[in-house]
Amino acid sequence: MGPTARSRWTRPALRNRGSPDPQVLSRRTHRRGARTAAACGLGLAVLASCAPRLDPDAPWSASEFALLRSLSPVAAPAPNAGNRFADDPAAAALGQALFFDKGLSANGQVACATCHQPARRFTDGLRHARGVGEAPANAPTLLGAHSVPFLFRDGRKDSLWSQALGPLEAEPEHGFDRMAAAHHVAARHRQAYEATFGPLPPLQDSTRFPAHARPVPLDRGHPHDRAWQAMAHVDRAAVDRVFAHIGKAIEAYERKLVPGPAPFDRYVAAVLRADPAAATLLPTAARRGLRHFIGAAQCVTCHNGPWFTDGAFHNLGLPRAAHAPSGIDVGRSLGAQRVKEDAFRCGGLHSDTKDCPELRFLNPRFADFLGAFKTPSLRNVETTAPYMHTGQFATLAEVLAFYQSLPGTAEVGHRELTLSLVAQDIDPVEIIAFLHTLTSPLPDARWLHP
Amino acid sequence: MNAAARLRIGALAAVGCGMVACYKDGSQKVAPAMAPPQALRVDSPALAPSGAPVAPAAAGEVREVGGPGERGTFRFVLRFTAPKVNELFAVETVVTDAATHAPVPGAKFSLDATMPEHGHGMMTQPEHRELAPGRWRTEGMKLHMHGKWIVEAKAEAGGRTDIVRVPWDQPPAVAGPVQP
Ligand code: HEC
Ligand code: HEC
Repeated sequence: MGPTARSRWTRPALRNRGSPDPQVLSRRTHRRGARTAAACGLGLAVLASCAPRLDPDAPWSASEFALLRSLSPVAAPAPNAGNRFADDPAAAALGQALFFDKGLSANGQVACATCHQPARRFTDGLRHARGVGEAPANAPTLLGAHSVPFLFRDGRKDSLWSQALGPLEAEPEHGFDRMAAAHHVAARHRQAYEATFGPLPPLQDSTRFPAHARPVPLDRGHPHDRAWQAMAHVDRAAVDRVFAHIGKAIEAYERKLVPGPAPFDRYVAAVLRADPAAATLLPTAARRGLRHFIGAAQCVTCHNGPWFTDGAFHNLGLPRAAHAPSGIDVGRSLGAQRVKEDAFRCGGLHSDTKDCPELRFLNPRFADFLGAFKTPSLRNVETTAPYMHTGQFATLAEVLAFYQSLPGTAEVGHRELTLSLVAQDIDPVEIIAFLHTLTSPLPDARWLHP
Repeated sequence: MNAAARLRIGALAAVGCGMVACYKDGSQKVAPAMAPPQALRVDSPALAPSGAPVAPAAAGEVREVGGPGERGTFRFVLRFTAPKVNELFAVETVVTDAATHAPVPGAKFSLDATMPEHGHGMMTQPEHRELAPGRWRTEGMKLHMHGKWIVEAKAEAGGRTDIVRVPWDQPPAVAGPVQP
């Protein structure tokens, strides 16, 4: 935790902004005043709490109680009809081997685990992930990734198996290609692959299957693309099938990554069975922080459900990171279009289901998708710094300072109206103390190494 | 009796069928679930008049809302299981002639939801299917935020159009049991 968050009287938000514009300040004060009055005065159903007098052990109202139940515990991954190997143990074992296999990269140095390191709860501690090159984004944790309908900051993928194929061919990440990936599987994982997915195509026939090939839609002159276009249609389909199976094995592995109960889960379990010892299970500051989180600070508007994410996309109007790549990131508005056209989408040729309501009803032209990014899970957030999709913030104190000042305006689109300023009289240290109670033991040790 | 229970009983009385059973198991049992149109004449307390506030419903509760359209031409009755925030749900709408109570078949029908205070609609584009004359099933509705929504049903038939706007207060986050 940064030193700026230690005292509630040191307002990091205001300090960091240099000399604040008086107009902005007065508007802010006004808004804050209005909200506090509404919350405290009317005591509305919205779990009102008045920060300064908040009792960490007040009896829970019925709606608070329901909310607590909705946040804990985490459930096992729901079935995924799009991948019929999703819960196949042999597929998971192969997926585990592939996840740690550096042979699936252009330089032989990069595996999924390079950026998604088990000991760091499947992140890498960097602002921007580094593989063969530098990725334009922060690597998120994989814990809980199975719980949301769309993957990546802009939701450009709609399943874990399809998602896994992205980094393999992304130039800054694995920088690999599906043809080489198929050859690698044939050379190193043939037995495990064929036992689960059936015989590999005759990849040794180099007249039909070159060493490297992949479609490169944005660069038709790329040697990989030329090699891909030169292949017979059936051979391309056979390679795509192997590629999809690589993804399906990796998804089966990722679904095993279920963390153990966090202190928060033990607390909720105790509250639910009316155990008088519940209060002893979390520090006082964290119990107060929880009440802010589901109450006046309204974090639970977006960070909800057992994984503390609504799986949806919001424009927070975040500051641009100093190190951000040039160009404007429109976020979900492009991601929604891309996922509808993705070759490995739900209902596509390689999907095991045709029932894809999330994709079918998705409206890619929804105006507020502009500049919106996916709500991340807050489980284990203590251990996954830096924060936000381009690592804008180094510490949770900086994140809270942002929510308590909402500086500037959105770079593109507009800051979502649901995001109301968090009152200055809410102690950020308490919310952070609560976030720390979401840290779980790592998943079972047998999944943490090749 | 709380308001929710009254509403539920109202809905059941109105159509004489276990609404929960009829609608919880999806579209398979559409035929038996279908109410004779005249049954809807019963002014069930579940029917909030157009424009009147609708009490928030706990997720999972079956709700019936709607009423006569703004032009008094058609009558719209919308039935759905109160959704959780950000969860796909379906709505069944019965469109009848406000004067004769006869079903209005073959209409050009649409159902939408918007948040006027936020100036946006839904992130989804729903699909509508006429299951029986004047009876529509809309799939792909999703209220991605808590707060004040307006659910809007519109029908155009025989040169006549009408619209009903039903306020819907979506409660925050997910309330209700998640674990069995
Ligand atoms: C170079 C580092 C790097 C490598 C290697 C890498 N990733 Fe990632 N991963 C990232 C970054 C950065 C993101 C976020 C990108 C974005 O949101 O646009 C990400 C996002 C993801 C997500 C989405 C999580 C979510 O909540 O949306 C999953 C799942 C994932 N990676 C799995 C994998 C798998 C499986 C592999 C190996 C096949 C892999 N990653 C290889 C850096 C990497
Ligand atoms: C309007 C929806 C919304 C609300 C309300 C909201 N968040 Fe967020 N939160 C997001 C989104 C979206 C992101 C990711 C933004 C990005 O990466 O660009 C995020 C990111 C974060 C992160 C960084 C997580 C990571 O792994 O990078 C933390 C921590 C966080 N929020 C905590 C909170 C707290 C605490 C509150 C209440 C004070 C809160 N949020 C309220 C939507 C919301």
